[in-house]
Amino acid sequence: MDVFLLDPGKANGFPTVLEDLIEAPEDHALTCVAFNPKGNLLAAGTQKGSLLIFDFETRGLERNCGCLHPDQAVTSVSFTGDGNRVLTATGFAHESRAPNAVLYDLAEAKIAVEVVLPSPPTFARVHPNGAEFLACFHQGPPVIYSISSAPSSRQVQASVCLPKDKEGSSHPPAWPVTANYLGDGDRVALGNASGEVEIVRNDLAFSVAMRRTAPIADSGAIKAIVENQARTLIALNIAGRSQQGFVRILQLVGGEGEGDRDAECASNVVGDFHDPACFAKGSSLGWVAFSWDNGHLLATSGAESKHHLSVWNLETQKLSCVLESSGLQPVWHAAWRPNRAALVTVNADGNCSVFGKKEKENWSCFAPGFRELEKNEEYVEQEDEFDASPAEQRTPAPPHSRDLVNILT
Amino acid sequence: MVVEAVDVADAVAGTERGDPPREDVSNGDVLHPAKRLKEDYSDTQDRIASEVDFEELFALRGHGRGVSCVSFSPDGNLLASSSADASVKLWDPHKGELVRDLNVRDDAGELGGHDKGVSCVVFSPDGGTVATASDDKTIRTWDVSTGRCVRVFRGHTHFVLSCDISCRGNMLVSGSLDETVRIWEVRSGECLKEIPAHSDPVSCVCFSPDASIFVSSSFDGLCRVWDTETGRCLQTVYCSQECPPITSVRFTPNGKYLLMSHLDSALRLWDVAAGREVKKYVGHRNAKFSLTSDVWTHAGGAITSPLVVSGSEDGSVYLWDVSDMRVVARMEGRAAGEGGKDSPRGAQEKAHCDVVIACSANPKYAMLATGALEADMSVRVWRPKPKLNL
Repeated sequence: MDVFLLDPGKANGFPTVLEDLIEAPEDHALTCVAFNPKGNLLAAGTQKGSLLIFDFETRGLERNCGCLHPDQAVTSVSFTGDGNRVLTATGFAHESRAPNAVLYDLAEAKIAVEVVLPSPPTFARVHPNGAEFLACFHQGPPVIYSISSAPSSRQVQASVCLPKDKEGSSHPPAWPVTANYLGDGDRVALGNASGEVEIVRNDLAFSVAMRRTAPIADSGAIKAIVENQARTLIALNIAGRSQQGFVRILQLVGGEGEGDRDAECASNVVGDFHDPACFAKGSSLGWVAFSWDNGHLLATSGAESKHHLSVWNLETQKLSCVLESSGLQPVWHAAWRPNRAALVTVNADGNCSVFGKKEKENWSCFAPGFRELEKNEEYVEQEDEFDASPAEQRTPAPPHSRDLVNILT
Repeated sequence: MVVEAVDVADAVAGTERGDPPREDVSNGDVLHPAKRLKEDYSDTQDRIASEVDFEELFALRGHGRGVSCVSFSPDGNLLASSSADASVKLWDPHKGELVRDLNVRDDAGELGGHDKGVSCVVFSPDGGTVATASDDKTIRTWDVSTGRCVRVFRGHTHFVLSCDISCRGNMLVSGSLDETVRIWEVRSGECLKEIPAHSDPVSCVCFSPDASIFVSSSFDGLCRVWDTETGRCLQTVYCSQECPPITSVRFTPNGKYLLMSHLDSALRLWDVAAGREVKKYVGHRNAKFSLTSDVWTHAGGAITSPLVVSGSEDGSVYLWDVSDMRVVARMEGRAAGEGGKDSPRGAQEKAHCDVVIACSANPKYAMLATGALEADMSVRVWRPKPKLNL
């Protein structure tokens, strides 16, 4: 990005101001959003099952991809790593229609693959390479559907999906199990309703990359698993049981490296972050994300009636700011813009709010040679500095060197 | 608008301009730096031993007044030219034939066309659209295949001098005599941002290769680099103490340097990251008219390094080596009024016979296009002379 040449800090920080509103076109209340990897397109699913593509640079509607899920609200939308295809899925059951997931090709402007699912998925995400997607359900283990030449599906085999033996009797598995791709999609992280986490490799045998952890004390189900951009931390969105919901950050240690790819890794708890707005028992935070510069954690409040975003500083583990705007509707879904300190939230009224970083106006950019000061400084002038004819003549500019300059790459 | 030093003052005062005055400007402010330069670089003429020969492929005629801008399509197979007579023409640069006339009153479609001179013409990155900036205060986009006007961008309060389309074809930036820069959404024609960018007319605007930043140049002698997303100023380019007006600015293909044309008969290359001037190209004459310059990366043949191209007020076209700043070639022409006064308006001449105001390098083929003012009115296409195999 050419802009980083002049403003290297552009991607850093977290949004603090409401910048813009993306108004949904008529009859197209938005339900969920996702950015393409470059961050210039925003894909949005709608209440009526359509997929809309917005040009995020101009904030205008770029394309209406048509209705992919008639009369069913889109609940999951994700881009492939090359940004050419979008996967949408609906989490709502419909009497007459089978639940499905659709992979839409933006370049060819048509549906590439449509897969019928056994039940409405709670979450669906396309693999970065675009050859498969992961779907989680209310009951049963997550399933990876291959969407390359021969459509096929395989259940993710992990111990968090297995029945438990407790005091000799077998309990049913702790459904629902949530899952998400990690890294380049070579690993899958899973979490179940009793607060256990496991990471498996995305290979045929689903070999274990991180052994199942002990259930997290005093917690309910793991609602979502998110990885940060640097791929060093994972955030677990955990529902509370006898307390409020919270986000736990885990750091993966060991495992890959030192030539031993099959080594198992372990996890350290970095910290727990509690909802500052909702203290009800058994509550949970809404949507959780890391900032693009990995310095902050962001979560929407579980409180239903308010538009409420909490931002924590990961270094100090303190709450940095709370974004509240009473005029806006509760948040349904949100997406962080790649390469930028910008966030889009989908509100209950079907419109999107764009939060951005407050850009500091850099006045010295307008007048080169001046320096901006934090506060007034006593200036000690040189003896002849403001004389009509300075004692020392200004040195003439050095002649231009004939050095090679590369203007191409 | 063909910008001359005197014109600008008139235009700023709000007077509509008729024919541009042909008299030389005696206002010393503008001419003086050039005179001084002549002394500094008196050996320049000796250095011009054309290392590479160029030949004229075609002289394209049809404009009724001076040519204001020439521009190649991204695939290099179309050449657009605009003129002060409000005509915009698309040419086949390989055959030298007229492909299509844009802005013909009856063919322009429901939206009509420009009714005043056109100052700038650029292609969209997919080559399917052409944008034109005009003295009628509007910018228009045109469908290349049908020649119809697609969208009118209204909002500027004075002549629009320059426009550029972003790499994805979704945004258009324009600079105007009203001293503002505006960003538009191409699809809807909606103005997204208006930036009070300069304290004098904005002569040229150009997006960086990925369109995340853009640059504006002005007769106030400054270039400013802007963040496209926020409209925030990121850098002010300020080359010399005198601040001669800047008539053209563009990013190099890698987006790391700016090539600027100053009205002190010099082109300068500015390192954006370091914030300093790294090269200066002299030898041509540019003290009065709004000449444009370009970077030529596909000169081909014996030329392996990229070149800087500019027209000149003496009717010639100059080519410099980017790195060592020497004049590599000069396609000689003559200034208007110099000899051959009775010749019928540059007919059949193998060179320009008036100020070469516009130039554009073909991005794909070894080909260069230039356009000249009133006494010539032609667009000429040049290529390096093939070497004789002896």
